[in-house]
Amino acid sequence: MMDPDTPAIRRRGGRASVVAAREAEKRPRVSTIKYGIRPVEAVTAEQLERIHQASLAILREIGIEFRDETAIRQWKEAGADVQGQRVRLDGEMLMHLISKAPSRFEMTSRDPSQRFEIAPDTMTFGAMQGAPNVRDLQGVRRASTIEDLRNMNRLTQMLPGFHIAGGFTCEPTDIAVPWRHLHINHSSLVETNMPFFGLTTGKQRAEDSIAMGQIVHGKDFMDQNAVMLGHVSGNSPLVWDSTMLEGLRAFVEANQVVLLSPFVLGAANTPADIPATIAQLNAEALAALAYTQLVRPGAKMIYGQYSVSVSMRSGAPMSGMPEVTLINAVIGQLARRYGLPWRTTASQSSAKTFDAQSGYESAIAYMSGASAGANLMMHAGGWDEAGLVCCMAKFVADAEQNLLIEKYAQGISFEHFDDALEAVRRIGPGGHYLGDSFTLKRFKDAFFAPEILDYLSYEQWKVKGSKDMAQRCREKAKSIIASYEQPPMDPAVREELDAFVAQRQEEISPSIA
Amino acid sequence: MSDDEIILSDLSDDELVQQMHDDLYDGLKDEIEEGTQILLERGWAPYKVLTEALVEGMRIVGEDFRDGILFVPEVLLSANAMKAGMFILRPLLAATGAPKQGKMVIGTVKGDIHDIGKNLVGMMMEGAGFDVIDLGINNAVEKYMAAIEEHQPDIIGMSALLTTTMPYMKVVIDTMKEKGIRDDYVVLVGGAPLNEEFGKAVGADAYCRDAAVAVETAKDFMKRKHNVRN
Repeated sequence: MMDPDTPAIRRRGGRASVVAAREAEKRPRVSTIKYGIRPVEAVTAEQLERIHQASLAILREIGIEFRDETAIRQWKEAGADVQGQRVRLDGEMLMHLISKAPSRFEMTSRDPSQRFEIAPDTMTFGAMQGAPNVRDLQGVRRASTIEDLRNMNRLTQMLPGFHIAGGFTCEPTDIAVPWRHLHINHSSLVETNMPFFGLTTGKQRAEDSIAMGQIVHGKDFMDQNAVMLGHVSGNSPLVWDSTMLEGLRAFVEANQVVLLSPFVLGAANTPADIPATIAQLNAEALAALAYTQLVRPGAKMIYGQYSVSVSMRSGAPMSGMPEVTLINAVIGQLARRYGLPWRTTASQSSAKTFDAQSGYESAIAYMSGASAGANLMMHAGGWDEAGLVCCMAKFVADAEQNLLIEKYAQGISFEHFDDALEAVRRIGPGGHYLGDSFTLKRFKDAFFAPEILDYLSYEQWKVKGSKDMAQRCREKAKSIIASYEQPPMDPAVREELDAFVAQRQEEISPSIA
Repeated sequence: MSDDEIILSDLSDDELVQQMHDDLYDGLKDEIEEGTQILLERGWAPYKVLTEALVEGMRIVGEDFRDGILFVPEVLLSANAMKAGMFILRPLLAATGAPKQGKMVIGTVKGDIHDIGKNLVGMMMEGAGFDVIDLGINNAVEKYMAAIEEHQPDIIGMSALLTTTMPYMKVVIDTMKEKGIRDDYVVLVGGAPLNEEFGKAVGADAYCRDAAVAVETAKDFMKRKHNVRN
C-alpha cells in the first residue's frame, strides 16, 4: 500500500497530543488572505470606460449634494463649483484627490497577532451590523439587547473566520438611543480584541467612539495604526449628509479607516438599469472618496457600496439577485482601475427563518463577492430579513462559509503538482489514493473540511439526533459562548473605559426629544 | 511534539503497551513491529500481545475515527501498522491455538466495480485483527460460494455502490439458504445506497453504514458466536 519513498512518519504523541493539536488548529485566524483567483469581469474595458465617463459626467454636470457646512466650505476652498449644497466636480480634480489614497494599508489591534492588510488583492471578513432584532439561541425572534450584542461579540471573537468585529452586530435596544454608542463600543473593546467598527452617526458619537478606542489602544498607537473602521453611508441618489460626514471627519482625523458606501436600492433610488445604476453609484462613491482625501490626504479608505434590487411587488429589498452579482463584478473592475480596496455584502438574505432561501441568497452573495474580488466581505455573518435580524445560528454557519470562501479565493496552488502527479504513477489504474503517502501528507490542507455542514450518512445523522443545520448551529453557538474567555485588558484601562461611559452618560441626556 | 528518543526496550511492560497504543495511533509500522517482538521476547503470549497492545490500540483509533478526530488516511496508516504486528503474531497464534478474532470474506457484488468503501472496510477489519480475504470487484454468486468453501470464514461481507447492483446481495444470500449454509455465517452488507431496511429485506444479519461500524458489528457478532460455542 505504501510507496517506498514514504517520508518517515514520526511520533507525534498518540491520542492526547493529536486531540490537543486538532483543537489548536481551530484557533481564530487573523492573517491576510491573498486572492489567487482571477476576478470575474462582467464588462469589457470599453464598457467600463463608458461607465467611468458617465460617473464623471454626473459629477461634472449634475453634481452631488454635500448637506454639510464644513464640507461645502472645504470644497469651495479646493476650487470646486459649489452652488448652495450642490457640488460639481471636474474629473481631473476628482481623480487627482483619489490618487492620494493608499492602495493598501494594515489594520491591527491591542493584540499584535491580529494584523492583516486591506488591499485590492486581499480579502477580509467583518461580522454583520445594524440588526434591531436577533433570532436567539432558542430560535426566537425578538428585539435585541446589550446582552445579545455581547454574545455576538463573544462569538465573533471565538469563531475563526472573522477579521473585524461588527460593532453593533445587533442593536442594544434596551439602552437609550443617545447612550447606545457608548455601550456598543464598550462591548467591542471588552468582549473582543479585534479591529472593530466604531459608530459614525454624528460628530459626538464618532468622537466618543474614537476616544474609547484611544483609551484602550493609546492615542499615539492609533495615530500610527488603524484599529477602527467607520462606516459612512450615502443617501442615494447623489446626497451625502452632515451626520455621516461628521463621523467621517472624526475617524479620518484620528487616522482610522472609513468605508464610503452609497446605498443602492436598484430601481428605487437608482435607474432601473444596471450600467446606469453603477454609473450613479460610482459617482456617489468617487465624490465621497475624493472628499475624504480633501479632509486628510493619504487617509485610509475603502470604496463602499451596498447594492440590492427592489421588489416591484412590494418595494422590499431583494438579496441574492443576479443584478447584484453583476454590479459586484463591475464595482470590482472599477475599484481595481482606481487602485482602491472595495467592499461587498457577503452574506445577505431576506429570509424570515434560517431556511433554504437564507442559504441560497447568502451562498450567492458570498460567491458573487469573492468571484468579483471583493476586499472587505462585510456583514459576513448572521444577516437575515434584509438586515433586520441577526440570526445567531446563521452567524455560526456563515463563519464556516467565510473559511470556505477564503479557500476558494486563494485559488489553486501548483506547489505540490509534480509530487501529486507522481502519486498518479504510483497508483495507476484501478487503485485508490487513501493510503498513499502523498494523500497522507496533504489530505488535511488539500480539501476543505467543514464541521457545521453535515456529511454524515442518514443513519449517523439520525443517531446524532436528526438535527437540522439551525439546531446544530445553535448548539455550537451555546457551547462557544459557554467556553468563551474575555481577552485580557489592563485593569486600569478597563476602569478608565468604564469611567468614560459613566461620565458621558452623566453629560448626555438619555432623551432623544 | 515528536519524541524519537524513546527506546522501546527500555520501557516497562505497561509503558511499552501504552507507547504501542500511541504508536498505532500515529501509524508507526516499524515501531509496532519492534514493540510486538519485545513483548514476545519478554514471554508474553501472542494472544495477550494481540488483544492488549494491538486490538486495544486500534479500538482507540476506531473511536476517534468515529468521532471525527482522525481522518481516513491516518486510520489506514494505523491499520497498516496493526497489520505489520499481526504478520508477526499470526503464525504464533495458530501454533498456540489462541482464539481468533475471526475471518472475513469480502467483495463487491456482480455488476459493480466500486471498491473504495469495501477496501476501507477490509483494511479496518484487518486492523482490528481479523483475517480478511478480499475477492475484489464484480463477484458472481459462484465466487462467494467458492471462497466460503475454501476459506471457511466467519463473516461474509458484500458491498455495492449502485442501486442496480445492490439487489444482487439477495441472490448470494438466497443461494446460501438453498445450500442450507446461511445460518453458518454472519452476513454483513454495506454501501452508500443501502440502509437498514434493505439489509433486513435481503436477509443479511446487519447493514454497516461505515467502516468503523462494520468493525464494531463484526466484533459484536464474533463475541456472541464465542459465547454460544463456549
